[in-house]
Amino acid sequence: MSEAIDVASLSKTFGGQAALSDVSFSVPEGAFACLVGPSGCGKTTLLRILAGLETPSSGQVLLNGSDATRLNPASRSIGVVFQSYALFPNLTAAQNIAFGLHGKDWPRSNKQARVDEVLALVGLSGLAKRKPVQLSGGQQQRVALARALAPRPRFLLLDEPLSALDPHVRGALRAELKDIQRRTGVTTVMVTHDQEEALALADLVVVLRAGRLEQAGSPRHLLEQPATPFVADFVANMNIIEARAESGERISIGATVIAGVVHGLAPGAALSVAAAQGNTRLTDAALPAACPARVRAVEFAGRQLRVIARLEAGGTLIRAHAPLGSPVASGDVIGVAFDPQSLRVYAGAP
Amino acid sequence: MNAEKFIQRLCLVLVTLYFGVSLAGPLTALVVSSLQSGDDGSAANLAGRLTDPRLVRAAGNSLWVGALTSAITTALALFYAYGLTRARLPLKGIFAAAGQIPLLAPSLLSALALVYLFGVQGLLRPWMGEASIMGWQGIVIANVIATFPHALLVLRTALSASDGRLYEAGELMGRSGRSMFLAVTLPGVRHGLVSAALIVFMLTIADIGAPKVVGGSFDVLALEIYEQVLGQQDFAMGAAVALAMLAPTALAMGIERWAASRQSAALSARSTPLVLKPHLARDTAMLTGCSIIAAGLVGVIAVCQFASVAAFWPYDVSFTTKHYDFNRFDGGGWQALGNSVQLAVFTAIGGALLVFANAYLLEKTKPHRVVRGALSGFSLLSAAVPGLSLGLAYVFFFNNPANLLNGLYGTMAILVLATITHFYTVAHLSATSALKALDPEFETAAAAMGRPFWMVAARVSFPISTPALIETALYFFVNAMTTVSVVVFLYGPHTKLASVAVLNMDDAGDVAPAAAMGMMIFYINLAVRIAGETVLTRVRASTTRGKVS
Ligand SMILES: Nc1ncnc2c1ncn2[C@@H]1O[C@H](COP(=O)(O)OP(=O)(O)O)[C@@H](O)[C@H]1O
Ligand SMILES: [Mg+2]
Repeated sequence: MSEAIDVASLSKTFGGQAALSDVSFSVPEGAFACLVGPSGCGKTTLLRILAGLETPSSGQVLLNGSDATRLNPASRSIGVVFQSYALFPNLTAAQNIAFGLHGKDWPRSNKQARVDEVLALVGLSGLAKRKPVQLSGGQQQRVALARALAPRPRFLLLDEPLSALDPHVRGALRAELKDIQRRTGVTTVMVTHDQEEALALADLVVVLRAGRLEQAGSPRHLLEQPATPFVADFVANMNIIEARAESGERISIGATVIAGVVHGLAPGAALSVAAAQGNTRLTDAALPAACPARVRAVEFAGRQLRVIARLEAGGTLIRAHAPLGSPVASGDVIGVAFDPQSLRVYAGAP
Repeated sequence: MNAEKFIQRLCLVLVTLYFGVSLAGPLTALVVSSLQSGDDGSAANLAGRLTDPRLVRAAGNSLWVGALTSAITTALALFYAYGLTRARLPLKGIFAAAGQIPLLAPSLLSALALVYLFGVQGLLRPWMGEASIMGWQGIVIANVIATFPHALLVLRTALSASDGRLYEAGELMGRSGRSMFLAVTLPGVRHGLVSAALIVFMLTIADIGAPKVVGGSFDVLALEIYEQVLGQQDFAMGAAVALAMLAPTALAMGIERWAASRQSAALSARSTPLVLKPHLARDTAMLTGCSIIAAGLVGVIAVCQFASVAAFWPYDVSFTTKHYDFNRFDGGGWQALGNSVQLAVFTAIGGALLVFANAYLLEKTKPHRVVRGALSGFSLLSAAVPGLSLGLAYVFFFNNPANLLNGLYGTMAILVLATITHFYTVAHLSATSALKALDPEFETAAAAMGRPFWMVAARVSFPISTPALIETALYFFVNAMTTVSVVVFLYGPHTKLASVAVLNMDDAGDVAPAAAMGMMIFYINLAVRIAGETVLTRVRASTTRGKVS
């Protein structure tokens, strides 16, 4: 029943300051997991604990079912790609890659072949003799990846591997990373603060916020059933609106009452409502089920317009789409309406 | 415990042992001796000695010349370092070399030059009226010249660690050069400034050369120790004064640590090198100022060179080499010069390796907090101990039959140990900053690949740091050749040293031979420095190709 990686009730404090609190999740064999969350939420710390570079204050890390919490990095069969790449500047690409190939598994004769093999895998066959400064950012990134993969680790850990690259290179490398991961079948944990990147790459997305686990699940699961307003906002890009429970299946946003929302809370209780942007329609402000809002900005977003408006009740900023050519302009007062059935309701104010 | 942890601990134990023998032990012996000897052996005894009016006056004098020299030298060195790093100075190589000249000669030489120029029979005496060089003013001028390169070294390093992006950002925000200087440059070198001022202060109050040659009747602590120990053989009093000298230095150290703790990293991995644009006013001012300073530094050496080959300065300037016939004079003769070279070679090699090993252990292997605190404390403590105090502490510690290391007393080994320890801190600071400039993830990356820290040290960190390693070795070499204060109580009949010979020959009235010996030290150091620079150029060319910019 054990998975490739099991993280159980992991906590880590730095001098009294909690960086991780009671985090648990599992990553199946061969899966691509992404740790996602805003900067400073503990992603790197968690990754370093998985790598054995940091010991947790409490909790356990199981690798393939056996306790690895206090195992040193060398015995974990991991490859790590660091945010700074940490390529050795005085060694060539090939020497950097060969640095991790040592011990009885890697006699001299196999080493060279393996270096060539991983260089080919990352598409850098001709550049073996280059030093890091003679490589572009994207190429350095590939060398770092090749270096991590060379010893055939069972686990690949990446810390924001794409964040230092320009978007153009990033997109290409992202696809390539996914492809290499699929071909090698290595169980992968990647840290990113970019939810779009996580959704694009991962089989499993683990959302952290201030050192706590918010939700772990497939991208689809997170998009369709975000467990918390934070996940709904950060991962699914939904609008989060402050509301109040009313009797029956009704809620109110400011003076606007919306019927047909199942919530199960006592009337008067504060709640948060998450509405997907696709489920946030712009209408006439005079309609009874519409919340009045003032348009702050209108942007082009692909083949439609993105409208950013401030709800008059509570002042929350919401984003919605409108067809190209809609007569909406900054400063207009409009109505915002939702499909009650698709709203997600969470107890407590946002 | 795995092999890596074991090796790491072993290294830490060895370094700790080294500091125990080289610093903690001797200092303890110094304290104990200052309390014990004499008639009854009590703290009251020490207090009585320390309040001796003569001593109090000498202490005040030391503080005065130390502080004044420190302020002047630091300001001049900052100016000069700024010219070297932040202005488009022509012939930068020459200026950089000129700035180091006093480092290559014993500090006594600058005092001798003052005598030759402004002394009773000085060349410029007729123009001086009633003014005299003898006294605090002579000590300050001699020490400003002698300590200038030490301050320059620290400040130049601090100023080179500049992040071009900050200046570009400032320029884009329309900030003037002056406001960028105040907002970015100065804060960036604050720690360097404090360190430089501190080092100059220490060197000055520990110096016996200048006070002896141009001090006249102006009494300072260093001279007081020297006289008590070598003149009156009152070791207890010497120990008491040596302790008294530690007080201001300990205070200075405290300030230095405070400044260091407020210093944030000057360079990040993404820093870009600073590109200097021409700036007429700045470049002209810098060129003028740096030329004057450089001329002064070169002038000192030139005067000593002329005087040492003059038959009878300044009356008969016909050429002679008789003052270089050292074996005719007291002081150790040519053998002393050989001993000095030997000392310098051992100090350079041993010191550079030790400093880097220790700095590496501290920076990269994350030892336990207590160990780390102790080792970095010791690394910095040596700068807080004036050379004379350290030398005297060694006498008490090693010249004790109960000490297992008693056999070292009077040998070359004790001289090497004392010299490395005395010059440890500056070397440690520059080794630390060289290692700090490396990506901290190197070791982590290696650990993740199952490679021990020493693999990274051997294949990456040390090779990249080779230039800094060579620099450190050169620093130890030239200082070992020139130091007087730390070795003056420690040399034996078979280990007489050239730098001490300069002092003794001058003392005996053989001024020209003293200058000649000083010049020999200078030329040896110059040759080593040039050889070192040649190697450095080669090494840099091969390492910078692979260096992260
Ligand atoms: N070695 C450390 N010492 C002290 N605090 C740390 C250390 N590493 C991380 N932290 C703190 O732990 C928190 C999480 O950091 P990190 O894991 O780097 O976040 P992320 O990678 O998500 O941006 C931050 O508040 C950070 O300041
Ligand atoms: Mg991080």
